Amino acid sequence: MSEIILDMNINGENISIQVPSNMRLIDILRVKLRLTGVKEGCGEGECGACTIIMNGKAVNSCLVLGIQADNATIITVEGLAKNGEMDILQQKFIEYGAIQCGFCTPGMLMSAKALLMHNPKPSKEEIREAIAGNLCRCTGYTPITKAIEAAVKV
Amino acid sequence: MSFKIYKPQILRDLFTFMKLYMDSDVKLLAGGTDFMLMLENNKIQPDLVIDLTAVQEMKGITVIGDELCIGALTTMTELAESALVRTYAPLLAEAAVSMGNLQVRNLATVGGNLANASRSADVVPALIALDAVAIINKDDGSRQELVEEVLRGSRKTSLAKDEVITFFKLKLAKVGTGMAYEKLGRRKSGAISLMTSNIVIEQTEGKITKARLVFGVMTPSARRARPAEDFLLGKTLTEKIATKAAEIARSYIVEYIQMVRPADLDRKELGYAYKLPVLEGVAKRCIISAYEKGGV
Repeated sequence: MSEIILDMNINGENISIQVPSNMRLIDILRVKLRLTGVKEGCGEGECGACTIIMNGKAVNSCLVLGIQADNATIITVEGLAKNGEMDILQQKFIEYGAIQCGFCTPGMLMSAKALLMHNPKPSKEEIREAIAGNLCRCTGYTPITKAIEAAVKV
Repeated sequence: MSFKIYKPQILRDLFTFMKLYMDSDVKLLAGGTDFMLMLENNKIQPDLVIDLTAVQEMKGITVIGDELCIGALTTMTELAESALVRTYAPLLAEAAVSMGNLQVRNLATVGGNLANASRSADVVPALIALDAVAIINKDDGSRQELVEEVLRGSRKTSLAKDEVITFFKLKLAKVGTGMAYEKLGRRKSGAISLMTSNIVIEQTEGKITKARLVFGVMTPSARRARPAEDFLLGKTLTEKIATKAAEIARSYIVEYIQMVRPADLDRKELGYAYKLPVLEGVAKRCIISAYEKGGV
């Protein structure tokens, strides 16, 4: 079994971790680091449930091989709350009922967060485009986009 | 299935390593959006994976002289957002933004799109329509080849085992150049291309001086519809001429398939029965649109 050592900054913390060379980033996060807010849906980059922010960009962690995340800065849904207080996006998702079963929520939040990180005042269209790669099968997209719009206004 | 991994920082180290492992099953990893699926499905079982993502020499978009130089590791998002690409090769920016979804575009690279040589590659036909040249390097040399010629069939390229696409070069669009792109897919986002139309038309005083018509997915490797391009040369575009050019493009594709893989025309899953008439309509619309955009 070939192993590699990766250096990463995850949710503000510098870590060094030994993993099998063929491990996907999603498995490193979920299995090795117990960041189980990262969800696996399709496993092929279609559904967006595993979306995380890597070096400032939203990516599907199921499509990233561990080595590609070496020296990367990563934010998962666990990194959104600060000092015990939820991110404004999380607060608005609750307020607007943008969560039903909740499986798509971490991915939705990270796509929305990545958008706001480089475009703090996105248009309705830009919001829709940013979450076009995140599938939701129960809540419906209207409460989700409304929650993001509300977070933008704060 | 486990493998060794190497992550070079510079090209020189990459080539040294590739030479050292000439006899092993080596796979190069760029954005990984197709690679990871092949790996997960055991379609590839490499001994060694070389992660290219730290090689700075393969990144960046610059203008050098009258050429646009695009690093092979440039992502679809970077292509779509680049002011240089949007100004000088808007077709490429449009094709890039049509790929997959944002998360995929943030990873997928232009070099990977060519090296992977998938029939439904999203930006490769646009590169061909722009006469883009791939710069291909190896340990002891480099060569240049038109993107169209790099492709040698579905999943096949001219790349030797010790070669890597490092960047692309294409001429800056001249005044009087118009481009048009359309993609046929099942949805607006996240859809695999069923057909793409990539049109570039240059004109001087209303007369067409150069035409490039490339229809992605229709053939195992994307090819210029040369008979239709030649038909347009020297003409002032009218609706009738656009219609005729689209008809010629359609016939060209049928003839090409009959030559390389005749059985494909009857394979239902390839959908020629509906795609050919659609192509004719889309081609006509794109030819007119490109011509109008180029008119000054």
